Amino acid sequence: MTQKLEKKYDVIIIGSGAGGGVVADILSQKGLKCLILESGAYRKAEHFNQKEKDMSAIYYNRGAVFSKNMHIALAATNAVGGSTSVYTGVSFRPPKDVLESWKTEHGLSFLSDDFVNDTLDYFDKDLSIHELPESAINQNNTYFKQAAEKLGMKVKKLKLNIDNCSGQGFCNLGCTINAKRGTLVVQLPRAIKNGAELVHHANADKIAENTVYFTVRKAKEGVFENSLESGSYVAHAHTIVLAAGVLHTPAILLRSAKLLTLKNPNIGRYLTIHPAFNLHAVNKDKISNYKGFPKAYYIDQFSDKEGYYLETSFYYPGITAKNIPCWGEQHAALMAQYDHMMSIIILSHDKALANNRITINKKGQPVIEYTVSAETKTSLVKAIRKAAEIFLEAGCIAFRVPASRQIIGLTERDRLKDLIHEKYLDFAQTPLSTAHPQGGCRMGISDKNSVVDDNGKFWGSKSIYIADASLFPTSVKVNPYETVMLLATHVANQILK
Amino acid sequence: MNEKIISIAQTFISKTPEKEAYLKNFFHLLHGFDQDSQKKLLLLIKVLNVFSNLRYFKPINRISEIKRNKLLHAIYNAPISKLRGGVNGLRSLCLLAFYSMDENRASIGYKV
Repeated sequence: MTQKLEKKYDVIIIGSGAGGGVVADILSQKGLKCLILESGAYRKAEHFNQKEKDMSAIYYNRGAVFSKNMHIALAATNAVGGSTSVYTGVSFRPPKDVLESWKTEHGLSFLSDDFVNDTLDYFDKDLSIHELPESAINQNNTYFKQAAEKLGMKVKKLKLNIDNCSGQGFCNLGCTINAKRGTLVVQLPRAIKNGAELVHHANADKIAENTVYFTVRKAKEGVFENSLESGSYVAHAHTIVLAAGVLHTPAILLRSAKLLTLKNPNIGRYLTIHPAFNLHAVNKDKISNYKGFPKAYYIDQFSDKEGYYLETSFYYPGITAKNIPCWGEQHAALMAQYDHMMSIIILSHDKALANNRITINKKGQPVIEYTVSAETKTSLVKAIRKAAEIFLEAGCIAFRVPASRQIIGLTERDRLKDLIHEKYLDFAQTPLSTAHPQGGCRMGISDKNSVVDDNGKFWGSKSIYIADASLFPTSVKVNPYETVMLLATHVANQILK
Repeated sequence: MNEKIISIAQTFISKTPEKEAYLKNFFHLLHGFDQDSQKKLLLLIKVLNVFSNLRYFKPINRISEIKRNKLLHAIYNAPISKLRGGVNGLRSLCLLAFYSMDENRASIGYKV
């Protein structure tokens, strides 16, 4: 039986990540009564144990929500704080060319230099965004920088939003000391202090104008205290904000199509995923990449012409094992040298295409329909080759990467073009990873080609707003959380008006 | 089913895992997947076993390591994309289950 929450809220926010957390923070500071519904658990620092087998539960489907064609494995967080509870804290402002195209081609004129800079300057302070001091840079990062520079590449330092990081290296499994500054640590506690209520383990089933139907699952007793018992609920508010992420925001809308009596053919469409491969190579030297901060440097000089970024990375043994595309003795021999491994992540910019979308199955669960374009495939192969050059220059002696059929070592240095080739790239055998999905409920100035208006309000609705990465009209090309917070700030400001 | 899982895992990881602990971790991870993915992965193990019976007249856990490796490679390179993807999914789970165990990650020099 569905129970009605008697309490009246000003705003119900579905999702507590970079979008939902920021909206909750801004609105509760202004005295609005907010209810935050989050489908995941409320894991605090003491709940993170740094073990893959346990912490993969922070993600939907253990970190691999596969696309329908099984070519994409999406890591989507299912926890209070959303992706900010598991990201590495890599902080990029949206590139100027992207913002310019959002303004000129999609009509998002609110993205003035003043608004963008003031908002992002605020986040710089609030989230302690800064470059790592030299003393905190680990071997993998040092080798990456030295090798890339020897090859004539321009290496840049990443900005990160960490405070008092002890270099445990487990960022993607949650931080045990709250060093990462995300909504889990910064905005949500502040919103709660200002009166916002948080219900976790709460799945938003459907929405209607001013109404959310949701189900609270039973939380593990003695571990997660919750403010509502398990069961089905309906709650009402003046405003509903969808911030459930790219996978779930379109799915909630699609499930609610009848209740909303709205037909917008763009819901779920123009999905981009920032397709990535994590690459690992055995170096001649022992490398303690599992200690220290995993990400310090990136290379963006191939972004405009070839469509990709390179960043340093680190992954624990299970994920590393999965990322090395072979098995048997060859695989075991590479894994045996885990303490000599360097890691690089390649990220390609994909175009926003209408056929790439989030839809729902018969049970109402989200389904990813995504076909990798020929352009993206070419870009990925070029990026893998570039990473291979860096590995070899850095002294790596063996690696196995997607788009190749063999172990590559120093003697193959002159044959990288032949050995790493599009003809060997099969996304069924080596699916792409993505942790940066964007789009699906794009923002615009016409309901002909967007889902929400430039205030973030769902076209034709009186009360429903969206505030997450699904708003992006195109890929932002960089790690997206700052851009999500930027747009969420704008949406929150419009709600206050 | 357990014997089949262990034999397939052995081929992927090229080591003999401690059976009971490995299966516990395998199922712990598997049960974290949605119902559909769980069903598909378990169905794939059954399908692999059918292929083994058709090709070698023996269940997959009773064929030699060399034959099992050959069979898995054949399916991994099959013209049906979903079969290739399925083998990769099973490979990933088997490897993750092995290398996320404390003793195995310690054995490759991973220090917490």
